[in-house]
Amino acid sequence: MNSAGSVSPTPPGPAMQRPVTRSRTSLWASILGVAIGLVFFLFPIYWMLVTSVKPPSEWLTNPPVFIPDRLYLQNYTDALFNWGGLKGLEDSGIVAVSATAIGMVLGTLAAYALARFRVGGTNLSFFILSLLFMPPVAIGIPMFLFWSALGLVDTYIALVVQYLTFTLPFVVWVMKGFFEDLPVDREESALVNGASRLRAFWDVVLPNARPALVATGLLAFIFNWNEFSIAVLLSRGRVTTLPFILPTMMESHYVLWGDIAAMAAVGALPVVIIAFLLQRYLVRGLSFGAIRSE
Amino acid sequence: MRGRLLTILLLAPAAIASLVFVYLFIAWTFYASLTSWNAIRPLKGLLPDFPIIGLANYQTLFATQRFWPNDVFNTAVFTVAFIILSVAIGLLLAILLDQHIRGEVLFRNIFLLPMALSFVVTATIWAWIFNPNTGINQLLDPLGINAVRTGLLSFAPLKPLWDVLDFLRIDVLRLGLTTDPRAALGAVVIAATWQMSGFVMAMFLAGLRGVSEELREAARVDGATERQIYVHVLIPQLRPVLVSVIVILGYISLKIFDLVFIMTRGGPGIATDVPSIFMYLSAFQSQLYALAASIAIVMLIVSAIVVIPYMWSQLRSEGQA
Repeated sequence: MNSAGSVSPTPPGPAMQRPVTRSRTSLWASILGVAIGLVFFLFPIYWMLVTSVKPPSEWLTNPPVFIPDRLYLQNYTDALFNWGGLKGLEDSGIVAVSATAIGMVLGTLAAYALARFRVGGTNLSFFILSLLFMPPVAIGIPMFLFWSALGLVDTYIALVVQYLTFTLPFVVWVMKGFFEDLPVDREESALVNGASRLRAFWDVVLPNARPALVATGLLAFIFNWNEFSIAVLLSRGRVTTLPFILPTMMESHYVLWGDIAAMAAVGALPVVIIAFLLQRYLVRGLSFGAIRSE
Repeated sequence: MRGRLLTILLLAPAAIASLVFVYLFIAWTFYASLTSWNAIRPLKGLLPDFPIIGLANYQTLFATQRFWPNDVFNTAVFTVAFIILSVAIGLLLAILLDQHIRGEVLFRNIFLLPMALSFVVTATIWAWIFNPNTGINQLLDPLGINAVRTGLLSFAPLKPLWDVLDFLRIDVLRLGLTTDPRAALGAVVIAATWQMSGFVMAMFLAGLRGVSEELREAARVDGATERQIYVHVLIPQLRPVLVSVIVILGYISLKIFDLVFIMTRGGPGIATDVPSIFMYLSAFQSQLYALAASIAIVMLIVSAIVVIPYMWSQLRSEGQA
C-alpha cells in the first residue's frame, strides 16, 4: 500500500508507456465514448453558465439560445444584491472556514495521537469511521431542539459546531491513514535528541504532512461549503449559506432562471477552482481513504 | 505517564464532540421514538414530556402507505438504478481513460467536475433540464427527439418494457420527467449519476492502474486481445474497489435528502418520496416528532446494516497491512 505516495505534492510521472495495438474501430469507439462523456458531464454546467449571462427574454425561448450574443451581467448583480447572494457568500465563508480550520487543528492532533500511540485499537477506529457514515437528517430532531434550547438556532456557532461533528471524523480518518504511513525514524531521532513529543510533531511531522494537510483541509472545506441538510434544519433566515438560499429562489411564482443560474455559479465557482487544483486527492478523500493509492 | 495524558488531551475534543452530538442525539432520537410525542407541546427539560408507548410508532410507520411500501420501494429502486448506472458509466470511462489517450488528465478533471458541486447545485441544474417547458425536450426538439420518444413509447413490442419502467418510476422517455410519476424517480437517478459517476470512474481508474504492468504483459504474451485482458484479467482485479464503490453509493442512496428535496420535494404526489424527506416533513411540518424519530431510527439501522460489515473488513485489512 503506497498511500504515502498518493499524497506527494508532485503529480505522478507520465503513465508507463506500453505498446498498444489498437484497431481502427476501437479507436473510434474511444473517441465516441469520450465525446459522449464530455457532453453528458459538461453540458449541464455549460447550460448553467450560459443561462446566467442571458437576458430574461432569452431564458425560455424556443428554440433555445445556445450562444448569447452579449453578456447580460445583471443576473449576477440581482443574485448578489437582491437575493442575498453577498450575505450568502459571507455566511458560507464564515461557517465553512471556521468549521474547517477548527476541524483541521483538533482533527490532526487527534489523528496523530491515534496513529502514534495506538490507543483504543480497532474499536476507536470503528467508532470514528461510524461517525462518517451518519445520515445527518437522522439526528435532525435533537439537533434542532438542542440548539433552540440554548437559544442559538440560526447562529454561526450552531452551524459551525454541527459541521464539526462531520468534519472532525473526516479529518481524523484521512490524516490518521497518512500519519500511519509516514516513516517514524526522523521523529524518533528528534525524540532521542531531547525534543518533546509536541516539538517533534511540530518540527518534523507537520512539514512532511503539508501536502496531506492542504488536501484534507480543502476537501473538508468543499464539504462544509456545500452542506445543505444541516443548514436547512438550523437556519431560519438570519444565517443563510448559499446552499440554503438557492432552493428558496425556485419557490417564487415566476422562476427567474437567470438569477438562479447566476447564484448557482457563484456558489460553485470556489469549489470548482479547488477541485481542479486538487483532483488527485479528491478521490482518496471522498472515499474516506478506501482508495489509498493512485 | 505524560504520553498518556497528552494522548487523552489530544483526543478529548474529537471524542466529546462525537459522543455528545452524534451518539447522544441518536440515543435521544431512539427515546423519542418510543413516546407518544406527536403533538406540539413544550419540552420539559430536554426530553419530551410524553408517556412511553413502546414500539407503537414503528407499527404506525409500517402501516403508513407512504412509508411502507412507497418510501421503501423508492429507496430500493433509486439505490439499485443509481448504483448500476454509476458503476456502468464509471467503469466505461475508466477503461477509456486507461487507454492512455491524449488529454487524459483534462478529461479526468472534467468527469470529476460535477462531484465538486453541491447536491443543491446539481438538483437546481437538473430540475431545470427536466422541466417540461424549459428543459431537455425543448433543447432537443430541433433534433426530432419528441418524435423518437413518442414513437418508441407507442412501439407495441416494447410495451412490456415501458410497463416495467413505468412501474419502477424510471421511464425516462416520458415528457417532463420531474412532473410525471412514471418517470420522476428516473430523473433523480440521472442527476445523482451525473454527480457521482466521475467519482466511480476515478476509483476504478486507480484500481486499473494498480494492476501491475507485468500481469497485463503476461496476458498479452499469452495471446489475449485487449478486450480479453479487460474481461478476464483487469476487471476481476477491481472486486475490492467495486465493493467500496457499492457501499459508498449505497450509503449515499440511503441518506439521500438534498437532491430529491430540491428537485421534486418527493413529488409528484409521493412518487419520489424517500425516508429522509418523510422524516423531515413529519417533524418540522406536521409536528409528528415521535413518528419522525422512528423513521430516523429505521434509517440508521438500515445504514448500519449496509456499512458496518464493510467498515469491519476495511479495518481488518488495515490491521493486516
